[in-house]
Amino acid sequence: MSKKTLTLMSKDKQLFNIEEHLAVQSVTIRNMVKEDGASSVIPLPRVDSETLALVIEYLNRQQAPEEDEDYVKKFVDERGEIPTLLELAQAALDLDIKKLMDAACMKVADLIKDFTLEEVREALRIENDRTPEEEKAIRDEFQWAF
Amino acid sequence: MSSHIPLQIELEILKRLPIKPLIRFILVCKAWKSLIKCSEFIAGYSVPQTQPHQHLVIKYQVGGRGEEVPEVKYVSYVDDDTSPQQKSALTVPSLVQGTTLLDSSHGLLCMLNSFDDLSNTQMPVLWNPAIRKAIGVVIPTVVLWPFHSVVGFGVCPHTKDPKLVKTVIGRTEREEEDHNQIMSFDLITDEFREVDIPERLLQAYISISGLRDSLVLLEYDTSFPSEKQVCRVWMMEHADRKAFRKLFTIKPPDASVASTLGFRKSGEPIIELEDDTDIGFKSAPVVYEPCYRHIKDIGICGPTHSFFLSSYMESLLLLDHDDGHIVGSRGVKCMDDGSSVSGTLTFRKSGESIVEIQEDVMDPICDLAVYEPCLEKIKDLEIRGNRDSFHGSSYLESLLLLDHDDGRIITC
Repeated sequence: MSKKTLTLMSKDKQLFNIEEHLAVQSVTIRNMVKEDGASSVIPLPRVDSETLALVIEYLNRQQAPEEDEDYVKKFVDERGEIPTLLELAQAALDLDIKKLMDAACMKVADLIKDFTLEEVREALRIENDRTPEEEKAIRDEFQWAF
Repeated sequence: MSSHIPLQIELEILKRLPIKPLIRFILVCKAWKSLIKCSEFIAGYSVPQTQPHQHLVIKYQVGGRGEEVPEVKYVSYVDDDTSPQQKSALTVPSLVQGTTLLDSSHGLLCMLNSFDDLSNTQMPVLWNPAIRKAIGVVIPTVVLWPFHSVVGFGVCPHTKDPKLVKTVIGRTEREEEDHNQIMSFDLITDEFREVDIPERLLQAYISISGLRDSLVLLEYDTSFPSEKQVCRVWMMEHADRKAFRKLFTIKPPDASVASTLGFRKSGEPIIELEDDTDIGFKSAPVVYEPCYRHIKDIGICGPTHSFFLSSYMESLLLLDHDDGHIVGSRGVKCMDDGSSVSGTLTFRKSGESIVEIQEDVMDPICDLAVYEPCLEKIKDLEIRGNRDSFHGSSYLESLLLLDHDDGRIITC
């Protein structure tokens, strides 16, 4: 039996080929294939080409199942930049690839856990909408944590 | 700058943070505060596996020889694969002072204070050392001799609701039939069940403990040839609730086991050794290694039988409560000012109820008041008396009994 290939298209219209049996690790793609055979190109309008290349690299891994956990950890460790990890987590969430999403979020949590509040807001592009009064109330309630 | 990260990704990241940064990050933005303080998040949170998540807490005393008042301390050990040396002193909330450690479940330690005869109430304290919060729970106690009550504690694994179970036990008339009995309470179905104890343990001197979610019976025995007290450890087999399997006997070389305090995650017991030279005063909990009968000191000591140990996993339970808050159990409602509704007498035509209000849970004096249930407001009626001494009823004026003489007694 010849191996069937699927074509995925990124947000910036780049095409990526991947063997179907590897692509269906993504629950989203598996459902698409089941529904209409997905012979044509599968568009992924929220995933940019750099991130999609990473996802494809991950899906193409040739790992024994027992080494898989270590592989995912190493895979995200090597891409330790928060913006990249966030894009990866987002893509893994959209494509429903649980292990990759878990590992990417775990890595981000690990990276930010010692950050100051300002550093967290900067890294995750969050706006500070707290009033000084609210801030004081929380600081008083949990003095030990600050 | 690209668009914001979806809330779902933020939530997935927050779930994977250890407790301390999680508490700090409440201040990042309003959305994060709502996410972290949401009751579903609190109930679903468990410390990431990469962090130390299993702990042992030990309550002990220092000093207290002669006239000196002993000081109570709490120390927490990380219970991982290494020997338990990494310890940290716990900050004790004011509610916890003067209580004893009963048990722990899902990161909460349940502390019991001594029974207050005067007010007939008891107030167990739930304490989450990981987030340094404690709340008191008032449980009404209307139990008099010849009954006695036992309080048990656990958190429902599904709903994460803490449950306090008070069991009232009547003493049997026939003392000769007395034997060990164990009741279990199912936190999910709220059902009681008697645990079958092996024949040979019915009359033995036993206490209960827990090891990796299983019930453990500790059988103390001094009839051992050496006259040193040993402790046999029996574990309930999950498959068959009737069967207990003997795991091992705690028999430290040349020493008596004063008590077995509890178990590490690895299964090693932590025991108190009786110090022959200073009986009843000084003892030091040690880790006992059952295969080689080795003992390992854990660096604290105090008076014999003053130690309490419990293992716990860090959790976020109580995060949505104020520290020091006192809540009533079912039937006892607490007001904003700390007073509580201890009983309802009757209802007004409007639907408002007439209630007994207790200012201080430990003081039996009550004020009568009208309680408005929607706004949770109370209006004092300026009548004061002992708790549970009030009775009330509503009535309509009528002419009934007009044809009877006052004070007449009718026989039937």
